[in-house]
Amino acid sequence: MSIDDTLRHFAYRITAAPYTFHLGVIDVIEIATNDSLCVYSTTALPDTLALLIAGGTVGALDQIQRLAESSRVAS
Amino acid sequence: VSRKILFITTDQQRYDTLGANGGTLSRTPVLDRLASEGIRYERAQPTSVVCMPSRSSMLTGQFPSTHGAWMNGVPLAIDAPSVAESLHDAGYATALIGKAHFEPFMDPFGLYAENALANLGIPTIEQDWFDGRRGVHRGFDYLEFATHGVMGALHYAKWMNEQHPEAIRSFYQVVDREFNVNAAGGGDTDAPQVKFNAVPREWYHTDWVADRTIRWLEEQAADQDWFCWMSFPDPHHPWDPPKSEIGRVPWRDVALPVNYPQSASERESLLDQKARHWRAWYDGRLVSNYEAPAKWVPATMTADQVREVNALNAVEVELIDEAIGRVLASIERKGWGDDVDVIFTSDHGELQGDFGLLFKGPYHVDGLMRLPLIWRPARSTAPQPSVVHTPVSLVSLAATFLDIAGQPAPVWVEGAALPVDDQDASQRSFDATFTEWDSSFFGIDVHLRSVVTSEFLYTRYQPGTTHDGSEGELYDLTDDPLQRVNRFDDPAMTAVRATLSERLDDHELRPGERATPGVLMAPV
Repeated sequence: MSIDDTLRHFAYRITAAPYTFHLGVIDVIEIATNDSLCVYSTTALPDTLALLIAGGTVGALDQIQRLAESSRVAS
Repeated sequence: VSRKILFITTDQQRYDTLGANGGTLSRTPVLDRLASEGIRYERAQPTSVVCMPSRSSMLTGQFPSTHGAWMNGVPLAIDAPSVAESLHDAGYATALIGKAHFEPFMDPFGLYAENALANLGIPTIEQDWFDGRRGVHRGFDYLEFATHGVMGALHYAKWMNEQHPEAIRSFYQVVDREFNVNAAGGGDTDAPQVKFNAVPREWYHTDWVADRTIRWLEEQAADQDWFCWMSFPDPHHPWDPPKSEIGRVPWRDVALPVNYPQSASERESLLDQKARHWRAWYDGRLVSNYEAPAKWVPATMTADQVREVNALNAVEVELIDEAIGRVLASIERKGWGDDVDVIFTSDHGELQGDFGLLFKGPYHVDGLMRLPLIWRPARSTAPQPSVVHTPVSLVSLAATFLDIAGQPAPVWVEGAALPVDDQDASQRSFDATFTEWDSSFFGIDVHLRSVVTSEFLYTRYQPGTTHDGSEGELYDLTDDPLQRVNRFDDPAMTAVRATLSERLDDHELRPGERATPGVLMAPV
């Protein structure tokens, strides 16, 4: 797992079965003041289990958006 | 006297597997008797030909495009409408025992209640309901789950692992090491998803579902109204019934299905008349959905494999029939025999050799779309035996349960209560059913909409990865009951096609509130 606050980059691995390989990366890219693009990319094997990650990623992005927007309001 | 409801479902069972429907391979005396005492539906259609959308339609009374669980792996929203909630409100004790599958089985992150209840050791859990209240999970007081085999976290798998661990390895391994539907062959013919299973019959999931149902029924007070959904995982693959039972139907004596073309050239000629993905799957050039083994090529299937699969399927159907007989006997012992409505159906069919294919997918023909449906109303209502020829949809089940319970159909139900005979069907304008398919699987998008009338089966392919929106299938069910001649491009059928196309447009544009389509969270 790695976190780089400057690059706003987070990477992690799932090393447990049933995954034989996994790498997840979240990057936050500033595109304007108070406006960012969050990119969540995952590589996983076996292929079929990548679908599980893909489904979970949708919920994760929703949650990241909620966190980001609530913190923006708070600030 | 109020009426109690036993709702029996199987998984992936064809219309023609019952004796009452003309089937000759399985002996199904219990279901045949229910059919003779009640209402047998000649053309019952699902809203989807895969489990989760179809089962969600039974629960919600809505089409998949309304309830939002559009494909296997897309969970039904936890606060989706549920007929069990309405029955619970009406004072019914409510149970679902066996296969539910409103939520994905593959759940490594522990997201779904269906997969948690067995380990939690509680019969249900409180959740949000459709109307803003909170109550028991999808309206069920009691839940006990099983699926195909002994994998996963469900009650049956846990019971087998705790009580009979020595028998676990006897079952077919449903998925392979890459978590695809397993293509490995077995039996005498090396047919896919076949295995000789040494498990004793009394430990097999069919009898387990019946045993647990009987136990729940025995716990109910004599004057308690109840709705019990008894849901058998069979005869869905894998075809691994207890080996002690397979002598009932020797596969070498099994005739090939009437819709199995015996020569490769005939198979290919028939498939080439249909939309392009049929032949592409047969040849092994396309895998559009998870429900068939990705590494299995239908063109490699032999006639003997078709025979063996059909024989084992028939054995599983017989075991279900006998299990239902045990449950009905327990109901008689409780003194409820005259007060129980019994409804039997399946969520979708199985190709079982039709057109040289096996399993299921985006193929809207009778093998997958024509289902057994029997309703034996409570004897106390003095039901008149009948056969309904008009097409009916499983979307009508929820309203039917509520009608039996003397409850009005809520606004969210899209199907009216089932007709009791053809005259009733005519008076209430039953004349067509609709079946939907939407899939998105590793970049392969397929979208079908079908309408079935007494005369025709019409499928329109919406634009996707494989289809450009110009393809379709039109079968004359009177002249071509096996759906071998696609008349979509026949100029003589232009007017018929236009009329049926309008029916599909009307279905797409029907009024009513739709749930936001769910997210694909798992392959199944």
